[in-house]
Amino acid sequence: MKIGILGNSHVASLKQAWDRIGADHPTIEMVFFAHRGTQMSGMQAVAGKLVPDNPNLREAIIQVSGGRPEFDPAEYDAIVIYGLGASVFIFDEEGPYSKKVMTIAAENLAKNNVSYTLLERLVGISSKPIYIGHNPFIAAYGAITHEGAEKYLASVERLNKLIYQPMGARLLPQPEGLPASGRARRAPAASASPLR
Amino acid sequence: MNPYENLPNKAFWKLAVADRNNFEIEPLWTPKFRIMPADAVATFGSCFAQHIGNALQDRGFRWMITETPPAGLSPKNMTAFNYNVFSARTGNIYTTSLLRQWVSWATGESTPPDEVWEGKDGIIDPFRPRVEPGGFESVEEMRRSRAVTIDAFRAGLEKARYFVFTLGLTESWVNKSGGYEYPMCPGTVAGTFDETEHEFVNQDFLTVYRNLAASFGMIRRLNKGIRFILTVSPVPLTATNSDEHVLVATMYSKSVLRAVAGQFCQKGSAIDYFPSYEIINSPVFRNAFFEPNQRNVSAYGVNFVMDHFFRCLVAKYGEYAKPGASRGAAVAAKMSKADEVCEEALLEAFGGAK
Repeated sequence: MKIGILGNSHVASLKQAWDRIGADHPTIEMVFFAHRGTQMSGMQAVAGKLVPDNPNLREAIIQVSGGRPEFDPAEYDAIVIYGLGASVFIFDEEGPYSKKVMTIAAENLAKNNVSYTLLERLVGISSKPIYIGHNPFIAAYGAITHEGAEKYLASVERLNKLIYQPMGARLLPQPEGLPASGRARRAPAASASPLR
Repeated sequence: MNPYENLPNKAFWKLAVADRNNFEIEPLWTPKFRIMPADAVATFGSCFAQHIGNALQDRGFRWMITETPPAGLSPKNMTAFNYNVFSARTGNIYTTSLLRQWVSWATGESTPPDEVWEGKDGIIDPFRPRVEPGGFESVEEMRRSRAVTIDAFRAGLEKARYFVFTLGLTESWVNKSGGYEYPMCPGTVAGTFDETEHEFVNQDFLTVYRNLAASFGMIRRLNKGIRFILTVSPVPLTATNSDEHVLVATMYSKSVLRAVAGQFCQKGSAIDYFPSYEIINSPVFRNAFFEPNQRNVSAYGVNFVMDHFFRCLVAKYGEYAKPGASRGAAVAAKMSKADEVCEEALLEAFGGAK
């Protein structure tokens, strides 16, 4: 299986983790496409591929991907969009917000980032399975509780129904047990990756 | 020698107005308080109050928001759902009697009535009919949301150093048997009008004054050190039920509110009045600050008023110490640093690190 991963600097943690465990999964190949910050918004859909729209991005893509100047979805069995501003809106039915405003805020949060921009562009040119990995949580400080983890997992499912399933994509939760308080992680970023 | 001989130029129309360029007439306000950027300022009242909060924030002052929107909500939707319009999601508090009602709910001296309005698409809060587009999903959700707002309103009263209140209307609608007031006439944006139950009251000076006094008294019991800044909304009435022409009714309403604000301001050292109403409405400015409908204040007008607010503070108390860099620049610098760190992470992971 060949997986194409698009992202920003958070992809570095995936690459480092894959360097450690990749040998245990010889049937899987991963190819990374990343540039810092929001620079990946310059990957434009052109003739069925995502193509950098500026030399700086092109250079970064070539370096990170091992020589590929563009992203061709046809080469991959699955695509992962990692980081790039994707985050999880926590639906809290006992909280201060109405269901309506939570739903709208969740949509606003999910769509106002480079991750969603790339998802839209990919959906327009490819029918390959697409998975979304959200930005890593910040580290938890003080007493760690798993009280919010259930809300987090339920929120991921709700976002899938609301946003990602209609796009033919799937938001991946972080591995169970890692989210602390539903909004922070209790382990280093690399091991908190949904690809672990 | 007579009392006028030693008065400053601002006391004379010819020197202060007629001989000056219209847009250089100042200072129209001598502030009583030195508002510092770190001071918490709560803003409530009629429509125009929302501009004050934004202006404070834009200039690096601390506009206190005690009821925050959910993470990720777009600015357009924040406005639609009435977040970050006032310090809490009360909607417009047009009259001093409505302020008194809100403060009494916040202090626990009274509780909100049970009345709810059923809208076409949801449940409407009669006391905040426009905060939730389409209405709430259920009565329970509406009541929970209002309780959140009442708590946030109270937090604003307890924590604010300055409470800015914009007086908007004298015309009001009350529930006769319940003795409570609606911010909007039932049957206009929602609800059903019932002439046996709903009564129009055009409040006079004493009513407006007493309700404001009662409100400030209750607020002071929560927060002894709080100071008040009053303004009068320069926005004319949309409509009047007074049987007068709307232009005449507007002048009555604003005149009463202005007189109450003036009386209050003279009364106490903890109460100030900022003349946004005069700046927008004075014939000296030749209607320059209204939109073509002669009602809505233009963005230019709002900026002119708020620039005047801050210029007057500086004129009296001197320039505010400037931080090393603006907040925006500091954020940009932090982002740039984060980007550098990001690049290092990528270089390290993908073999480009030196």
